[in-house]
Amino acid sequence: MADIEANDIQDLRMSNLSNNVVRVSVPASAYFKLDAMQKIQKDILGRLGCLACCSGWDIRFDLQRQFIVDEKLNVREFG
Amino acid sequence: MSANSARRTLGPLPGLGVGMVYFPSLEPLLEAGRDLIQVLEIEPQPYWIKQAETHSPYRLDGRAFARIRQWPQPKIVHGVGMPVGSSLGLDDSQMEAFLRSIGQLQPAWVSEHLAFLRAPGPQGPYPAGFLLPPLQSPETVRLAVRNIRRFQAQLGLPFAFENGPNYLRPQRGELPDGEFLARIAEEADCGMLLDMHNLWCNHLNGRQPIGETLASLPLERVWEIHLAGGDSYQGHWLDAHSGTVPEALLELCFEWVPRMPNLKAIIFEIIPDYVLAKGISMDALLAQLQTLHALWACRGSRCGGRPVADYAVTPEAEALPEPAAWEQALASLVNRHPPADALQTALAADPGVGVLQHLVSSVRAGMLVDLLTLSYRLMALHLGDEAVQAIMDAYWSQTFPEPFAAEEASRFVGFVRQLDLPVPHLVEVLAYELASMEALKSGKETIVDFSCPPLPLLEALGRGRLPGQLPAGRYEVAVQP
Repeated sequence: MADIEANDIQDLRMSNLSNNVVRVSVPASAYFKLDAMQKIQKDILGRLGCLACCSGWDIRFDLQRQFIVDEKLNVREFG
Repeated sequence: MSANSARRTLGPLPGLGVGMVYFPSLEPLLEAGRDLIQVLEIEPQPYWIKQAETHSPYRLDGRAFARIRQWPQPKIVHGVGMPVGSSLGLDDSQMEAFLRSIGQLQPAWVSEHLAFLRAPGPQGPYPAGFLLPPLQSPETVRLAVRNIRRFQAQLGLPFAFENGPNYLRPQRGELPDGEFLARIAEEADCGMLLDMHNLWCNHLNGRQPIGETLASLPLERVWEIHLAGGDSYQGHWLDAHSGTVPEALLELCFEWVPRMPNLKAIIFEIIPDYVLAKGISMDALLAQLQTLHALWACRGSRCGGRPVADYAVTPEAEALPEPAAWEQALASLVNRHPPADALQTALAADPGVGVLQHLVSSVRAGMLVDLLTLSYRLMALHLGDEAVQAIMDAYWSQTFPEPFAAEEASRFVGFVRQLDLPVPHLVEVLAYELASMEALKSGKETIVDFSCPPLPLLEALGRGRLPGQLPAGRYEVAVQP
């Protein structure tokens, strides 16, 4: 989310609609930067389709899990 | 191989050199290694978008292909969704998109896996969730040859098949690894993409020793080799593409690559997530590429004859199951269905089946958290790790794997919604993540309603935190493509 704060906040447009609904406009690409865990920016391309060739362990879930679950399996909050 | 077929399949291929499998997030390495990376291997299916059935169920993501084409290196195309080892034949629904991908990338040759990815079921073919090893029988040789010839005819380009890893024990009466590959290559009159790390896995996991396998291959048909690193898991060495090439395998390559007279490319495979997770440095990757250039330099320098293999069908081979029964058994077991017949019961005792079950689960879990990152975190932070794992297990037990990540994630969103979990704002976060996918797929703005200020909620989850108390209100997030 640091990326959104630093780079994309200018792109977020807020407006008050007539029925008191606040609208926030967010580029879809911003979602794919919403990750304090990643040291490099993940890329939106190649993520909606098939998995690339890999006949081994897919590490993505482990990385997410390690981000919020400690070694004693306690969920922890960052920040 | 006749002189004519040698000219047709081997002669025209250009020597491309050392390269890598392309991932968008590896582009910094492609920049840093511009002089070392001479060819890019493109796996097209990750850059396809599944769409409502029109004339073709898949369309190419134009942005991805445009970005790939900007790289000056020649491209070769390596399919990851139309394996040629299936009794069901080629997946025709993918052919049009595959041909369009080839049209965009203009490869000198095309390759696919000698594996199966769909299995025959009572309600029709279903996705197995992983590239699985075919039974190494004469019948599989025949069907693979048929599939390859059909692929070649559709492509109008030289075709090579890739050997996969096999984490199972050899079945009684199966053809040895090398003979199985050799027969297919010779009878289909095609090239071989020899994945040396996959042979290394088989060797370490107790299948045919790699030297024996290599000695029985028609090495003049090897156009390309794949090299990668792996990891150990439950006593098996996995082809995880998770690091640099093991030193012992590199030494073996320096012994065998000189015996490959028609080698045209050496491709290094590494998954970007592992580069981050293991802290593999740019320098280490560049040094790896330099080593592969040294390997490339010695290609074909020491070619000799090879022993003629005895292709007689052994009596045991006749007792092997039919390929379709094998596919049904293995796909069912790796998706954790209980054994339903004698073949499945016998196969279930193989420790390799347990490994494959975990690999399928890891892929399915990876797809979900990759596209539903914030929803996963919100659920885990509220419900705990075990509860989320139980939800995913329940989902997997009720559904077969969907190979396209966006489809799998979308279906999981529907499953979670109907659970009506006591997690504040979960429905909104799920809708937001779904909208982000839809905006990219459709190119259209998608509106999501929120009952609280959305940015503090999304930002907190992005940091791995719960948002705290948020004031109620009426908000809309317009997700723009």
